[in-house]
Amino acid sequence: MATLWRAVDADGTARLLKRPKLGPGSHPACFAGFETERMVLARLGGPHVPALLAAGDDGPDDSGSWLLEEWIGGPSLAEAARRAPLPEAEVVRLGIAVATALHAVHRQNVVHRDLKPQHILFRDDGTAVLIDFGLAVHGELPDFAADAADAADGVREMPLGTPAYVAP
Amino acid sequence: MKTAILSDIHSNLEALNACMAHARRQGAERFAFLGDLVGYGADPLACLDLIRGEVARGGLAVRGNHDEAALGGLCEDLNFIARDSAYWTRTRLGAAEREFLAALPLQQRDGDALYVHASAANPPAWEYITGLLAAKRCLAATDAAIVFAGHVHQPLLFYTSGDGVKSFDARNGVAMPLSARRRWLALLGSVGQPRDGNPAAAYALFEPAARQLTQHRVPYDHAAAARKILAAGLPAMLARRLAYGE
Repeated sequence: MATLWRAVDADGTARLLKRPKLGPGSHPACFAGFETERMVLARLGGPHVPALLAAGDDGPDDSGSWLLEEWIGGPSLAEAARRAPLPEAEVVRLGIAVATALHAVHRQNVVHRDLKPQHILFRDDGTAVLIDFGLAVHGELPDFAADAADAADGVREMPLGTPAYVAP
Repeated sequence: MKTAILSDIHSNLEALNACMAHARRQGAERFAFLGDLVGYGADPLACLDLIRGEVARGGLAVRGNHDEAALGGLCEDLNFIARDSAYWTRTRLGAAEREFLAALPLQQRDGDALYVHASAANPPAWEYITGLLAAKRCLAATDAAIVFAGHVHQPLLFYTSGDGVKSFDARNGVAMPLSARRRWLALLGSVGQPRDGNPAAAYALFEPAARQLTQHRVPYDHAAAARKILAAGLPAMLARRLAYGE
């Protein structure tokens, strides 16, 4: 879980500031998600992911970690779906945009693992942008998200992802 | 400061030169040597000369078990091939080389990193870190955020995960971010005698500011190193294995 802030640069450019949302007994996956997003986004490029602008572990209070990312105004696919039923041509356009974004990320050796309408935003020109890489895995980096989801005996307590969208 | 970390050089001058040249091309600003500078190979003097020069320029070095054997200790703990090469190495070392090796610490702290040949858990025991339990013991013995070790001649990364330790086989040439939220144990492959089936010399580049570690493999003229081993009258097996990295 994270707290999202709309930050503004000195030149007026909007940015996304992301910090862990911690509470009593917070699951270690919370920090693992931050580590993962930081590692993975730093290795992803192109219009289908938000640019990672800066990151650190020196934030105030115990939450420590922070990520500064490109601000993607949206709308999300979830918001688009609220207008359902959509015209056939728009559904095709959205489908192609999302598939193109997924393909671009897969070509960079990353699997998102938490793809759902809330994690797909659209730029003004219709380009789909995948967000929230906290559960993602990069083929050449450790899988912190899976580590955090595993119990001490190595058995997975729950599948990674959002239940309604996890592949059966 | 971008640091090239070289372990288990084992008197292999061709491999050492290749790794140092590669590291300089990658922007290495200093060198750290994780022990076993000598033993097995035919060029102890030339290797020690290079290493002493880098230490004098601000690099660091620690002592390994083969360095100890070359100074006169530990030989009863070595197999007969290693023992033969230790006896041979002793005959080659002069007073300056012996003094340099004897003065090396078993481990050295540099900021939040610790450099050791075998394990931070009792370094003079020369424990081989071959699994998660040994890795956990090593990390538990120090408060260093990152431990660099060699000795096993096979590169592998360990990191803390909850109360345990996990391992990761990092791909060569890929910069590994070492998250500040975890502690890390980086086992380095061997410069002079790789044993992971890849005959190319192994070393790693550490960038403290970015907390990134990149492992590299560097092809070198292992046939030349092997010829020197045979010409020196060292056990032929030490020459043969260079071609296979085993």
